[in-house]
Amino acid sequence: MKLTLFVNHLCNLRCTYCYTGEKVDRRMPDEVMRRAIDFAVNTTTQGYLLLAFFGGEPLLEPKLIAGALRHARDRCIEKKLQLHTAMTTNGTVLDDERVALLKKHGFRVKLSMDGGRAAQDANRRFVNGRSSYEVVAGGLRRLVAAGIPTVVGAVLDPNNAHLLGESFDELVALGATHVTFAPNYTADWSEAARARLEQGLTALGDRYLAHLRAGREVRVDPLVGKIVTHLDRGAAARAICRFGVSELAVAPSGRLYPCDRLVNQDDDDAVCIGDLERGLDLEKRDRLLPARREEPPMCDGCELKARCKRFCGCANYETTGDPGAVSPVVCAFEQAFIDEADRVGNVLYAERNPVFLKQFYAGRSA
Amino acid sequence: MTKPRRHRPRYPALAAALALGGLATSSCGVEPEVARQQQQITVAVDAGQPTPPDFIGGDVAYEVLPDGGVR
Repeated sequence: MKLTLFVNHLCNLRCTYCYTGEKVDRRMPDEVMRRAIDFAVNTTTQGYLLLAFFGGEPLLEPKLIAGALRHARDRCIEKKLQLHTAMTTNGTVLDDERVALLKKHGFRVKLSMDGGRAAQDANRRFVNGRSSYEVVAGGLRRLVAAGIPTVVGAVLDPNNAHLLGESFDELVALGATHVTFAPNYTADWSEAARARLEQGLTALGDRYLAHLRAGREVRVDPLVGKIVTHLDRGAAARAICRFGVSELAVAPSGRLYPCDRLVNQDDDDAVCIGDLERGLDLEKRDRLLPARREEPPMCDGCELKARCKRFCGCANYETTGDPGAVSPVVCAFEQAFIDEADRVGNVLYAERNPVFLKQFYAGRSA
Repeated sequence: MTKPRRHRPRYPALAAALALGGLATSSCGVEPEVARQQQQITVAVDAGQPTPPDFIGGDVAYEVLPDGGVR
């Protein structure tokens, strides 16, 4: 089970597209943290606990995190569960102590960073409006130097879409080997913005081609993920989120949500599926489970439906208000990503690119 | 409505389900890696091999200090 603890709503950045609501100082009490971990280890049937930290900025609460790790370790040993650890961080407070904490406990880190200075400062500034680029770039370098497995999570927004290619390059130059671009679906994707996105996606594909031709083993999503959906036609189906089943997010209040993207300000009863006092509202959770819904009529006859993320409950909820209903915005992004993924896949396979063959065909061409 | 496609895949799909490891698709970032580890553990257990130590959750002989540091 993946358990995401929202350790505080507080954050030192003011990202324009942030989906986690108002940045108030509402720390998760130690008692809630312990009960959440107990709930997860007593509930999971999967043999492991993936303990993830989110916020706000989770690294503003290192003591709470240390306490959670201690408690999770004890409970996992007792229950014979494997413990995995993950964190999403904005990378602004990665001092020696915090890097040591992440390293020691085997964290996998998702560092939120949008690219070079222009892309980063377009949307991800400090509370006082100051640029965060230098600080976060330093954070990424420190994670890489410490050997901490790190995925850079970048947000694809109308005002940085044209920078996609150079953003990828700049993140790779800082040491990133895996960058994933996730769209801000709720932004205003005007016709002009969509045109910039199309140009940006082509540039991103070109840069991915260039890196692999240079022998660099880098990954960029969603392109690589979409290549995988062609290679292994069951991949998309297997990646269906377990929305509230094997994945839970806990707000500082102790309220439970099916996905970390839905915690927001902890005030949306429509997607709150229980709390640590009363436990899970299973009936409500099952009503929300997008994978159990019938296929949306708009997907009838679509040749790409085996490769798309129409099942993503949080993206659907964000854009339509219904975890089971796909929006035309999500559909358009999926089509664009798959199209570009197939363009670069075709080129790299035709060239029998060694890195591509190694990554996807165990080094062999058909 | 699906737009007309500019590109169709000419790179071959894999004939059978293959363990693609960390390459599984997800926007969430970490779950596929856990899935891959679980798969490897399952394979190891099925083969009667001991579970690789780095899948047990890291070194458990650590001490987390009250201030959040470790030793």
